[in-house]
Amino acid sequence: MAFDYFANPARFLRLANAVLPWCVGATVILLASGLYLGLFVAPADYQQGESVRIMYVHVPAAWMAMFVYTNIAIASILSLIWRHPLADLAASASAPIGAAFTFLALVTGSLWGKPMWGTWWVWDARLTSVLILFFLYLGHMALTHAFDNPARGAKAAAVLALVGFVNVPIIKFSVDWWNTLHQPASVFRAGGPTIHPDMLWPLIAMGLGYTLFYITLLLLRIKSDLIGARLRTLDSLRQDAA
Amino acid sequence: MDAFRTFIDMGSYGDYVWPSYGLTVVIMAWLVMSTLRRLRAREQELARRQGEFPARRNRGGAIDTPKDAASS
Repeated sequence: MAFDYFANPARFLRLANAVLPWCVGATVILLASGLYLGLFVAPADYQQGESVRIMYVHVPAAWMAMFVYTNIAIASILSLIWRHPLADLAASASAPIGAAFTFLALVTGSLWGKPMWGTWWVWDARLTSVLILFFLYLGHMALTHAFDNPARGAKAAAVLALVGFVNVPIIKFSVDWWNTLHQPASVFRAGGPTIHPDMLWPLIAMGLGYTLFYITLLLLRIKSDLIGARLRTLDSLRQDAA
Repeated sequence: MDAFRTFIDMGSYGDYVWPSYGLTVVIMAWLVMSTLRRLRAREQELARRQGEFPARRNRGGAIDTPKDAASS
């Protein structure tokens, strides 16, 4: 067990250090081209005018909110069933990033809703379920650090992540199941995207850019947590020696 | 200059478009900076500790090492 723990992180760190420069480069290129296409090339919407440009920061943030949570749920299964040593680190490193993206989705959505719907907020299924997702992230972060023993915190957070995962399909299909001001899916839908390619490409560039941004930060945070674990080991060695 | 003003105005939606982009930049920059700050701090701490470990062993002589303490 101890051997696994120290063998895998070493392998992970080698891999992370090798791919990190590529992740950073791809993130910068994708976000720069996405911003350029979204702000300068993509046309204004025939109904929404220039306000539609909020879509290029709002929609990828909402995608990431669900994608990161799904990753946390997968990591939680790996942690609870197979006790993979890096799974807990991946989950706890992901949670603040996912919370930040969910917060961005909520606020940019509100800034888009005000001019288009005439209101900052409605308690409909889509908006409410995303707000619940935000609180699930906060709960996950709180539980992770709620115990003196980090393993207990990770286990409690993993259980919360799996129970809360039921919210993800509710978010996805909320616009089909209930009446809402929010428009239905126009990219990830059966029958393919209905959005015009001139708007789809900047959205894809931003979506991939956000994804690589997340992967880059995730690798850096896991690396940082592995060093933290190393420091704790040194601490206990010193206490044994004293 | 007029083209620039038209761009900033965003068809009168500038008050909603620019805060969206601005907040996105601020939050993502904050994520990057907090991640890097923590990584740097831990890397420095590790380098410091690894430097001090052999020094501690030598400083007090053989009697301070746990192995000797146990056998004496």
